[in-house]
Amino acid sequence: MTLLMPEQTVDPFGIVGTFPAKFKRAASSTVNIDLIAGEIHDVLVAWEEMTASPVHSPATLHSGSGTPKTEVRLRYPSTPVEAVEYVRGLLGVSQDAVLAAVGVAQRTFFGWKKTPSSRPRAASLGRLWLMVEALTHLQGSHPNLAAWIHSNPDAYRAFEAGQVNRLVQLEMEWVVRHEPAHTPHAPRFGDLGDGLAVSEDVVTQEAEETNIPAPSVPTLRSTPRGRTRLPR
Amino acid sequence: MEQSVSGIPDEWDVPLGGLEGLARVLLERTHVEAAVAEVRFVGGQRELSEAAAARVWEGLGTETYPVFEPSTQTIMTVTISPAGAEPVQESQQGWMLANSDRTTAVTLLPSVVVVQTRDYQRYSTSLGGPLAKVLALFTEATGASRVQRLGLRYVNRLTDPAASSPAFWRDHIREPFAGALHGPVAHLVTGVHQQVQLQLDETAGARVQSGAFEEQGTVPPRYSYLVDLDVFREQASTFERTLCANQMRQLNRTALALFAKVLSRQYLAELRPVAVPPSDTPGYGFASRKSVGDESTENALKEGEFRP
Repeated sequence: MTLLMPEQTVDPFGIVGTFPAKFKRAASSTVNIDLIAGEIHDVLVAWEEMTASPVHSPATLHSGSGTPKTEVRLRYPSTPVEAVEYVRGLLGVSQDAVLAAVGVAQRTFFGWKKTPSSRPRAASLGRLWLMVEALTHLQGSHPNLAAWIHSNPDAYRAFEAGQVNRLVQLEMEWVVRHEPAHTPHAPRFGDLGDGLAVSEDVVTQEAEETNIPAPSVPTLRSTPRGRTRLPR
Repeated sequence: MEQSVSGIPDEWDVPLGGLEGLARVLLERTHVEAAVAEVRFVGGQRELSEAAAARVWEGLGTETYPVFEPSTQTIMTVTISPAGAEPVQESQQGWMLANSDRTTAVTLLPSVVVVQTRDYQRYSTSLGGPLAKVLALFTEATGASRVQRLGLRYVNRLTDPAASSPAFWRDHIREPFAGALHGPVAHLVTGVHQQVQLQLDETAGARVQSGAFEEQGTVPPRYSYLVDLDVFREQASTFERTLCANQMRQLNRTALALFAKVLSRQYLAELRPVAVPPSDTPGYGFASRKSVGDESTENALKEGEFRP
């Protein structure tokens, strides 16, 4: 989260005014610029004339060839239009694929873009924010979410069908297989319409095979580093 | 919290700085990008424990704010000395609570409480009430007792489909705040930004930032006008709930009065100011829908004739 909180100029020697380039400035009230529309964020940052924490925090990864690659961490969206771009960027899929997966009509989406100040009806948002919340949590624990979803046919089918809980459950299974030291907690997104019962059966079967107790009431808690922890 | 306990306007409904304005009016057609209420305490801690933040979270309701995540705040301070101006940067660890779509968030830092919303309805329900609840829980959980600064900030965005250039806003913004939009080069302006700092009394002040900017992705180009109002009081005092609430209420009245000074009277009328009924009358909380042409509303817009 990025907060703009410039403090007032401290002038213990009372010499403001002798430096032409400096002026005394009162502190301004803190604004979380991650919670406002992107273009408003850009305007406020420009007006504040200060360097905020970078919106994009590049981290260096190495590809198979050893060539360093830069991963750009996407800023959490604050509007439905940004949310679509956020999902598209996280998973490396097309805009059309995102809209189809979350159940938002293309015409509706273009209406949002045309009138940025409009407030979309809740019914028109489909599963958009559910998907955003789920992917944000998954991104915190998965080294490369886009690579995983494109290399895992079950995960991609779950995404295409908008089955958020199924997607999360598949990711849990991946983490259990690859990081057995962590205990999984599954997030509850309140979505019971996409086969959660089936997921529980699958989890139970998997638990029996791997001698891991099946989770009863899944909850999600993130560590300060933003990584999800799965129940033991 | 919108008004005094008795429902009768009191001294805290009077805007600071001798400003006259719309202390009891809602504007129906503004778009608030962000409304922020902030209280800063005197303190030296660098981190707010998860346990303390969780107590506040549980008190507010985990269903209301299902998002609970850590946050880091970077503070930049410029200290001027004979050796020059030295910027100092330090970080504070805290927590953010938010509703499911993140339109409203509560930020808890070791010595700062911030309530921010994009879904602003009216002060009492969108900021005043939530802030009071958070402060009660926060001071109990942390022991914070001395207030350093109170602040209220409104980032208002004005839009119009016909705003094909910044000059469009010339007739909607009063000349002192519109800068180059009034004058011989208005037709050449592609962007404008102005910042005004005001001293309202010995410890209260305001900063008004305003300007036009090109909207992203619009073809042909379209320009919005942003009015960023920050009203604050910087005065060290012992935290007392009622006093804090009253002072914040007065900052709200002041912010609205300032907003009325930025916009032209005609444009202000287009934003459909609606009189707010007093709390002891039926239907409190729902603004009565009066047209702009209504005599009582027209009287409210006249300079110096509106009285809280």
